[in-house]
Amino acid sequence: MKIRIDEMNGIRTLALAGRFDASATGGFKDTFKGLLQEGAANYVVDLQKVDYIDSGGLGSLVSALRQTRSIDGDIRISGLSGKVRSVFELTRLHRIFEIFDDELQAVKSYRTN
Amino acid sequence: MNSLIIIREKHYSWLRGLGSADHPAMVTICNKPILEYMVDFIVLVGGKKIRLVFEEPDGSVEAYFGNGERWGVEIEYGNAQADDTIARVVEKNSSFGEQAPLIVIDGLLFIHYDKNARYEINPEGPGTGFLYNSESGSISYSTADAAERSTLVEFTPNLQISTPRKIVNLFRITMQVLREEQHRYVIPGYGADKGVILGRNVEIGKEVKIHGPVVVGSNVRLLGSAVIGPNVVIGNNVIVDDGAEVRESLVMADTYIGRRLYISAKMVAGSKVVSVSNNASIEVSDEFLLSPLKRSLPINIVRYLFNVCGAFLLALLQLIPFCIFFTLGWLKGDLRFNKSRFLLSSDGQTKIFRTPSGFRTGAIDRIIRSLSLDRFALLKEVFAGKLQLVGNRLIPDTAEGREFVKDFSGYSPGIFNYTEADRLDPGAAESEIAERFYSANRGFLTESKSLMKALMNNLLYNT
Amino acid sequence: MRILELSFIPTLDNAQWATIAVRQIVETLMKTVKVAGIEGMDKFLSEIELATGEACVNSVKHGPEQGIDKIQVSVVFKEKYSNFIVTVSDGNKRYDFSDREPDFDALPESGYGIYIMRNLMDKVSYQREKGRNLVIMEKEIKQGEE
Repeated sequence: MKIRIDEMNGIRTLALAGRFDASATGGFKDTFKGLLQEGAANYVVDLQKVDYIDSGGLGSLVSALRQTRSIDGDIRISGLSGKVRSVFELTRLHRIFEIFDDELQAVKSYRTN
Repeated sequence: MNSLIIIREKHYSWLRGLGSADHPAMVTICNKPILEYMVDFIVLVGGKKIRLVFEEPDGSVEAYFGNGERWGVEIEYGNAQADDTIARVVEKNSSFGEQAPLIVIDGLLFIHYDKNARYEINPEGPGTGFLYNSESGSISYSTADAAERSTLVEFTPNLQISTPRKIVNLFRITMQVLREEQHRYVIPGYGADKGVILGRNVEIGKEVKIHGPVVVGSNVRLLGSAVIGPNVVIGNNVIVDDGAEVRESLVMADTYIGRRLYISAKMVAGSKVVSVSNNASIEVSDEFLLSPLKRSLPINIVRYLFNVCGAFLLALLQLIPFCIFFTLGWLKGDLRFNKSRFLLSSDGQTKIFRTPSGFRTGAIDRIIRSLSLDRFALLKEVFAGKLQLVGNRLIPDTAEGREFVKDFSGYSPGIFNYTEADRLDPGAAESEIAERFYSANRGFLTESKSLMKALMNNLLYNT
Repeated sequence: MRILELSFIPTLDNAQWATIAVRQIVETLMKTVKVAGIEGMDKFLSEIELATGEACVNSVKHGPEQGIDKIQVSVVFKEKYSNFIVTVSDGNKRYDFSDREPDFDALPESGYGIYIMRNLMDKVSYQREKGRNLVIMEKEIKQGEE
């Protein structure tokens, strides 16, 4: 899975592409750990280009969320496609994460929070 | 023009469990989901795309509406959090709201539109952008330029809007639609007589009287000399038994109304009766009076035929020997039986069956076992659908048994079981494996084979 | 009835390849039966893919670090009943296949796997046979629905 890191309006964004499966969690966790060490607490994870996510991928998102919440931050999700949205709803994660259509709105939402 | 419909499930949690609607948006008014009326309205005022935003989706709404093809509109789905403001929801669904005028319906509202009328949104005049605003919900409009949410408006002609916030509201809305507004909406069913609409597969007894206006759903049986109406809505999958009278009432789906029961000015769902005048409700425990009806599961025809024909054949073959030997055995005092409660399914249904207690006293008893005559009395359960002809070992209704069965989603007990077919020790691990394996790999041939094996084993190893 | 089997050495990568292969197999087999329109088929395939993926990953995760016991996946297709049975078998120790729903509010980081399998497939059962764990999942193509 590819992870593209960017920054918009002072918020770190991660755009993921490909399969977010159990074999990709290691890479995601390492990347995220690195970002946390830089000090930012608020993130946006864009899943527009993710075509498959399993419980491993979900677990690592939840793990990342816990870490940001422990420093009073948040992770907001954008770009859920039908398939990925179904899995989110099935595991009730749509109640835990704030979900936006697109990355920009998710980034903007931190301002109006 | 696009539309966002924000379904605030939290405010309508009382709607769950009223009839068959699992999701509040699917609760029906004259057998049509309230959300469908809303979708129809948006299409009527020119909407091209609709996004349904849920706090607590359960898949049933999406399964019903699909991509909106059936209604000539594109339907999408999204999520929101329970305390999101409208502005926040629009923000989250930004890609949807841009480039076209947007109508946002917040909440489950019943809009009393007329399908034959043309509605215009009046873009001149003072206003807050809210076409309707109450604590139960709102309808707001904004032009394509998303920043201008304060443009005004009104619908012309004016529209009445009702909110199903309580049971009495739901009842009142239904009655209003039924009595005065039937012609304004597309109501599912076929209208033959004035004011009477019937669904598919409705059985009406010869002496049944129906006084319109009445709306009846699908798969409904009205028996004997039942009287329905006036001002009655009957949901899908309902049986109204002989002599019952239903007036001024709402009968929700999956309900059985017992013989000679008189229902007036009530809402009935399963075994629950609610009085619309004072909101009091009672739960009826006598299932012959009133009870929920289980929806019939799709039956595998081959399996069903195999069970019924096999049981019938076996019954024929065993009838004479049964009569002879049971009488002999009873006379001789040789027969011993246990009556025990067994589990019928993984959701906890049970039944008491008589089973041989395992005493091998006397020749008669042995003959009865070898000809499998001890199972004769159970054959009728196959016709009743409670047991299969061949299936899993019957598990007794004990705490341990219930634990075991809860874990076994394919559990389907039979008169003859896989364990005895393969001559396995019922307590051993191999028995559990065989039971699960055969359960997961059912087929006509394997089941017939198991039946033959069980019968042969009884014959060979009991004499 | 058609049966296709594949086996792989337990690594997470191989589990993904096997999952993708199963999806391809099911898709090809489905084309031999008259099925629901394109929209329904994609959802059906995705659900089988995800459930199979969860089962395979579970097997890899519960096995020893450098396991050599191959994981076997079989796809059984019963045309007459429009029914697929996918079984995943591994040589690990017996595991607890309990039905408990994860406590969603506690934000668990694992435990969704079995819950996902049970919700996406029509029937899921577990057996232990000859020293191997066997997860059996069944899904029926519901025809005639849009």
